[in-house]
Amino acid sequence: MTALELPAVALTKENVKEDPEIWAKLERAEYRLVYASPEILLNSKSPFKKIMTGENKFRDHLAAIAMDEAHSVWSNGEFRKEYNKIGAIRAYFPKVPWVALSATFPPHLMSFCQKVCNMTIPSDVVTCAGRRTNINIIVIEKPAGKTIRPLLDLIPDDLEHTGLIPKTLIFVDSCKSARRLAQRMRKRLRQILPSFNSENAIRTYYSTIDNRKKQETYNLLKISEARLVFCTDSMSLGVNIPDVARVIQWGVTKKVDMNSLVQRIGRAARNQEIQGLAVVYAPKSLLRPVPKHSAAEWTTNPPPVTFDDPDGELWEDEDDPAPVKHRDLACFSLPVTQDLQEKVDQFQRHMYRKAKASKDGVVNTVGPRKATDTIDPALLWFLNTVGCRHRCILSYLKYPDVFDDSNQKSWCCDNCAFGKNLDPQTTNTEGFSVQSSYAFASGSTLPSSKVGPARPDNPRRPITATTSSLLHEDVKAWRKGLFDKLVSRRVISRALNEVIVLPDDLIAKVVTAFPRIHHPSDLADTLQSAKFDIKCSLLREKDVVDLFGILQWRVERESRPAALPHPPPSNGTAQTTQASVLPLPVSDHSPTISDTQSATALIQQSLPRSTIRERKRRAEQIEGGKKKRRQPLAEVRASSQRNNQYPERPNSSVCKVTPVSRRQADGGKSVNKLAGKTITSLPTSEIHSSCSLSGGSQRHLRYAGCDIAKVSNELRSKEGKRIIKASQKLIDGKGD
Amino acid sequence: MAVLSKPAVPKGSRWVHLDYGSAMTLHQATETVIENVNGLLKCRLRDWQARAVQSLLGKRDVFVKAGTGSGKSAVFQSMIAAKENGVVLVIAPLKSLMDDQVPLSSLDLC
Repeated sequence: MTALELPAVALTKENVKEDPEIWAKLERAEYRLVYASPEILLNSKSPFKKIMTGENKFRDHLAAIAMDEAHSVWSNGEFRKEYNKIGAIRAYFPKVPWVALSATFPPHLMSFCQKVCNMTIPSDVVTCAGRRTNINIIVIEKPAGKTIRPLLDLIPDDLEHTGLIPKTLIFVDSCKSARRLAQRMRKRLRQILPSFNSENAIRTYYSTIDNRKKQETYNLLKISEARLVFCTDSMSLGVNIPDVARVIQWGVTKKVDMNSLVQRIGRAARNQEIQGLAVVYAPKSLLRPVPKHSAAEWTTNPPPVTFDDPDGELWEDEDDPAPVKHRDLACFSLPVTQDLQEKVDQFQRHMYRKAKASKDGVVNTVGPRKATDTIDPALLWFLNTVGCRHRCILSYLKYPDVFDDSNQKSWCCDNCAFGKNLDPQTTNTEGFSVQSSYAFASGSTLPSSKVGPARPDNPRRPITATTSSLLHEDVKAWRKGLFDKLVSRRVISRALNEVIVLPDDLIAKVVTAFPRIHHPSDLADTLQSAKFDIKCSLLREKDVVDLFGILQWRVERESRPAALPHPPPSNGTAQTTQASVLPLPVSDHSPTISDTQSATALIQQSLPRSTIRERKRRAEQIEGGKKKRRQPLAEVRASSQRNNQYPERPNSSVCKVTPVSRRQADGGKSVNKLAGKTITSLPTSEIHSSCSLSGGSQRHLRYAGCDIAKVSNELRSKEGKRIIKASQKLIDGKGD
Repeated sequence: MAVLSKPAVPKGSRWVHLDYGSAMTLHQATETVIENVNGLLKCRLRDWQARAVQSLLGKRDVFVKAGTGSGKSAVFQSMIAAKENGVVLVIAPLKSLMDDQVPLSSLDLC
């Protein structure tokens, strides 16, 4: 590489301010290469307008106008208005050829650019091989919630020198999260290696950071002092650091589209000699929840290629607010192969048309925005394809070398690694093995026996008739709960029967087979063997684990009831005994409302809190401790009602408030203050403070016999004396 | 400057007028420019880069689609050799990008 000293200038705000002569020099054509942003050229006060219109040397010597990273007209046009006026420059220099350059030029973007920049139609198109032969791509499921465990793992516990961390760019969506993550990572680095300069090893880079710091980061990256850089999109264009080993895209939101992702991935391993890695962490809601269609299946029995969903079925994951059409994701698994070329073309036409339509404002988002609207469909395709991800990128961008896989220097991408039957554990680059990829995880929908707890050798004792009927009740209550949940999320219509979740005869089968079931995956096998396809059903992995937990708890409880902690309250037991004499349900019997309501009540009252915890713990264990799931809302609600530490609703007018643990309810604190006091002796102010708190405290006081609604309503009226009187009256007279 | 005085051109080829001398075919003009660039840099333009330069010399608008890190900037940077004291205006979206390229001011062709 040779450096050529050319008089070059970048027309930035700072440079223009520093050197007032800059425009005059430009006019005299003293600079050979002039870099400028559209804003500086086209804002209303810009002297460039004079240069454009007048006769001068610059005009005579101008050989070409280049539009670098021209794909940015697409996304920038909205918030950088000058971008839409670029065509004006062209109009003033009609004879100067115009070159638009980009690595990411899908056809729709090219025609858009042609229009915006006033380029001649037709223009020449020069393409070269776009394949990054020395980058491996891997897609990993981003853990739900706010955990950043995978990022923390970038700094291993036994790190001896910061230089051992591969040089990594981590792309995030906002400056704020870049700062926050960097702080957290610095803290970790200081814990492990206190003697190293964590400020230099971990950097941030985003547009609003000041220039000196930017330059510093850039230099530190060049001299390999900076190892982890948290950056936003401003790092993704033109930055040329040859030896970046890894690029990590942390999370996929609507702010990222296929073009920017490809640009970001392109920052890795600019030096062709080294091997780079690109990691994309995508939320589960954007990844297909079921095993993918194999490439073979796509030829024999392809899912429909469509973006339109007339039913408007939504599949919302509660861990992620962005709703995703479950059915749609199926068609995004399309692999790019020579056999399926026709299908790929059809698919891409949809994609380009959709993108174009969104730009033209044809598709306007009325009503709830769906992830398929907000997330670039090409990106969904990239995440969910079962074929090579490199091919997917190249095919989308219409590069000629889509099928030149042989140039790829390493294992290419996670899907390819599986296609080639490479050992997922040993196939790795820069500390990321294919085993962690989603392609590997989705190969087995349910936790395999390898990662779960060891199975007992002996089968359980056979189930008695009483337990069997209880199991039926439990499962039906659970089914009802799940059905309601799905209805409330508008996944299914209320008009349907709960049987759609799990048929009655299957429940009977599961209950009879339960002595042989020791693990959620066994349960799944049992369901599968009964020709119940879990993949196509409404059940998710989590639900099966849940179901297993319920069954197991009941069986354990029935086998040794005394050993279990927190026996259910007395009236609960009464109900249980009542329930146990219910006849065994017949297979085609569909439960009536009252039936299921009582069952729900039953399960809510009889399941102790410890079971929930146990179940959750087990689920976590099964999932290899990777995903820490939030407790579903319904369960939380149920658990607080089930809690045995709550006193029974008293019959007498005096009751004691028992202390609550902090985890139990959000308002626990204030109730703890009241602990041990009898309710009648409480001053009103204390009741006020606890009543004005929602949730737990109120529920607690309700258990203690207060009519919270009345009390808090009265309190809200802010009429001091009346409040005191009313609440005292309430407290005194709460017995009636 | 190398001026090719005896153009033996196939039928239908376009004629380009460069500042360096008499009219010549597009192909020859490109050769000239590339020679120029090569002479300056002791480095060769790749085929696709030369192809893009050729189109530009023919006063045609060009889209260049090339992978990240493949040397796109060489295309417009070599256009400064298309004229005597040729100037190229580069419109780039980001400040960081410009800051990066200007202090280096290098033609990365290899």
